[in-house]
Amino acid sequence: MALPLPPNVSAGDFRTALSEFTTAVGAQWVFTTEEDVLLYRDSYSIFWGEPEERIASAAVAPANVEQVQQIVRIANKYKIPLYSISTGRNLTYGGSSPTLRGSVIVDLKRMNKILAVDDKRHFAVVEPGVSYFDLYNYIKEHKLKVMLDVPDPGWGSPVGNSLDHGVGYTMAPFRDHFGSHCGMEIVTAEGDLLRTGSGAIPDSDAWQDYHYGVGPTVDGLFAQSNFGIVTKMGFWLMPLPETYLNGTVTVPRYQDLQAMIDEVSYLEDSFLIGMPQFGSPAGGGLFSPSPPELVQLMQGGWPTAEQLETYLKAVNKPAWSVTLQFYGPEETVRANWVAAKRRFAKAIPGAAFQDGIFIPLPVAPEAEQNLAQPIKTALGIPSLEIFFLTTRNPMTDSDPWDGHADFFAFVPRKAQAVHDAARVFWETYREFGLPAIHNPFWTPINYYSRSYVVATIVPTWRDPVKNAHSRELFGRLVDRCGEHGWGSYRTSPAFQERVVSKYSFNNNALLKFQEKLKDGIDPNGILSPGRYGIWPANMRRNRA
Amino acid sequence: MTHSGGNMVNRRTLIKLGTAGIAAAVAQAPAHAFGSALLGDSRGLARAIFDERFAEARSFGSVLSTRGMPTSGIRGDVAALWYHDLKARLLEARLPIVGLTDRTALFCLEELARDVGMKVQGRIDHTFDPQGALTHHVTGPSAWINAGQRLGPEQGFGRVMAALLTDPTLHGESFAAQKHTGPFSSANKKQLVSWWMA
Repeated sequence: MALPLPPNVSAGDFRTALSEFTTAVGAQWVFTTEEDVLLYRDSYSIFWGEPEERIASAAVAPANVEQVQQIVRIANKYKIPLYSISTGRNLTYGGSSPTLRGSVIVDLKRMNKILAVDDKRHFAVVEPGVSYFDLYNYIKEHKLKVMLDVPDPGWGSPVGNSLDHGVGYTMAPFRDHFGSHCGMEIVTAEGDLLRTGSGAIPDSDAWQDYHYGVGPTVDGLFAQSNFGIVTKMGFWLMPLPETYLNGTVTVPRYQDLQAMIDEVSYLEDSFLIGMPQFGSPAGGGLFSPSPPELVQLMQGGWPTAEQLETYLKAVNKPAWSVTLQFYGPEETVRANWVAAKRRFAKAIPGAAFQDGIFIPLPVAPEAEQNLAQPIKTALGIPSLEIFFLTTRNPMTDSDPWDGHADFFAFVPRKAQAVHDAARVFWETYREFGLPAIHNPFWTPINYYSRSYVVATIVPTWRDPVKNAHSRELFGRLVDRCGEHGWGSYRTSPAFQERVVSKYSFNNNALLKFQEKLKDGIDPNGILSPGRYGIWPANMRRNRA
Repeated sequence: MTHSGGNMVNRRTLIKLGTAGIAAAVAQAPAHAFGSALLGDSRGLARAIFDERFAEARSFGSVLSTRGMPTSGIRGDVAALWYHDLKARLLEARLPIVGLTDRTALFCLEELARDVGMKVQGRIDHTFDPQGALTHHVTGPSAWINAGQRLGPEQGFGRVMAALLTDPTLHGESFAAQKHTGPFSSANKKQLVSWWMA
């Protein structure tokens, strides 16, 4: 496979730019051979092997901020599009491949210093190349009394994950990874260096304590965008809890979901619980095969509520479950679980309770291996087990995927919204002649505490015919959800423009505003052109 | 057949050589046949990784361990091995690693290995069908294709791969065999993969 040139850049200029990159970072860290550059292919690409696949032209790995600045200045000189990555493992959302084919990857993996972890004020400051595993190991080695919130899998970086609005699994303030940041350092499109928040005061010791600084905050401009290259980032961390406890509530009727949501929302918004984990004993569980009786029922179409209540009586299983997670001293976690049970019992007739596990923290290193998911992520322990769990999912038996593109629509915290979204997914998959795994017992995922995500997965392949079908399916999901006012909270470059197009209030006023910022901040359009639909002025007419 | 960077060369082989014959040859081979010439003895190989859950992989690991090669057993998940051990070692000294694992483990290691500038240079996918028959799907330089012809449909390939992966004649030609599969494989077929990264 021949590597593409950057668009609108002559071969001569590109060679000269590469030579200058080499001077800046050293020949060992400029990658131009096919073998090396193709390592940055997105393993889950929905354009695998096709002309539209987002292949880089080269890659360069700077060691420090000064080298990043030099790279940016060189890129400006020759109008080379850059695409910065930290660990580049955001699979299903594009991974390490650029939005614009032919971009030069700026691989920040060598900038892997953990600059500070403070277990009294509870924060960390890291460079982009630090992975969750690195930070976790550092905390353990130094016996620091803080707990991470990690995504799953945990091989990404706090910087990269948060800048794509990635999420975790513990308490609300921490599992919103961008929301828990405090302070950033950014290399601008002109190669300048700025710091946000109180970090803009030189040598401020409060950079990771007070996040606003003064005046308009600009931090949000650097997430899911292309306005700068982040070279340092601070994060607030959870103090290491004394204990962890969980317990499960089940409710009998299909109609009980709203009441369950009301109680969960009270507990979550009062910061009494961590991430609630919804399930359905009668429905089979998220991304699991539907029970045969339910499959049979759905032969006649999407069941009515009455039919579902009849089904529930026949299978004699609770309609819904939620596992509540508690963090803190033993006295408080046990008391909060008692209080939660009291509230559920009062609100929902027939609610039942199952005590879960109680774990004093920290977990001994030798005991960590014996923890099963999702407990590991609930305790901030990064893991790669999700790959092995997914491999064992019988849904991939008949026609194994090569990867997947996640479509996660956010909906309000209402039962009807969850049901409606599940039905839209079911109808759309059927429209495409695909197995419709969704059923009326589809449950929300509560990544962001104030909204729900209703999730589906679109397979990706090494087969262009299958990928074309998957792309159509994904696009249709975007469109149908958009009709209902549900957006996607993040997506891969293949779909970013389509997803962004649904945020069209007042004739796309938001995108137009972002484009004005882009024109001012990055007039040559060298930073990650096209990321989340923000194209520089010189490329807007020629968008793919 | 052609092979150039990133292009997949595939050739399924059912050529029977007689696994028993190979196994005997492996058992009798002198220690230097196990990669000492290429890989400079055990110090020339960073690690041989095998998945303890699978008999063929255990056999692979056992042969190499007996010969003094550095080995690591995993049980599917590569995280502890990579982040607590291998990554740091490879950053200090980038030496080849070989393995016989499932495809998910290779997928993860392949993604992680970019951090240390390493890539898969050859792989052989070993597939058991529901009836127990075995096929081998080779992706690699021409020397690998030829070597793969020595693999038969019977079991016992773990020991054979221990010799092949450390055979100096297999590793002279640069090849790119990365990103050939995603992490998912059918639960109905057991697929293992032998591989080499450098």
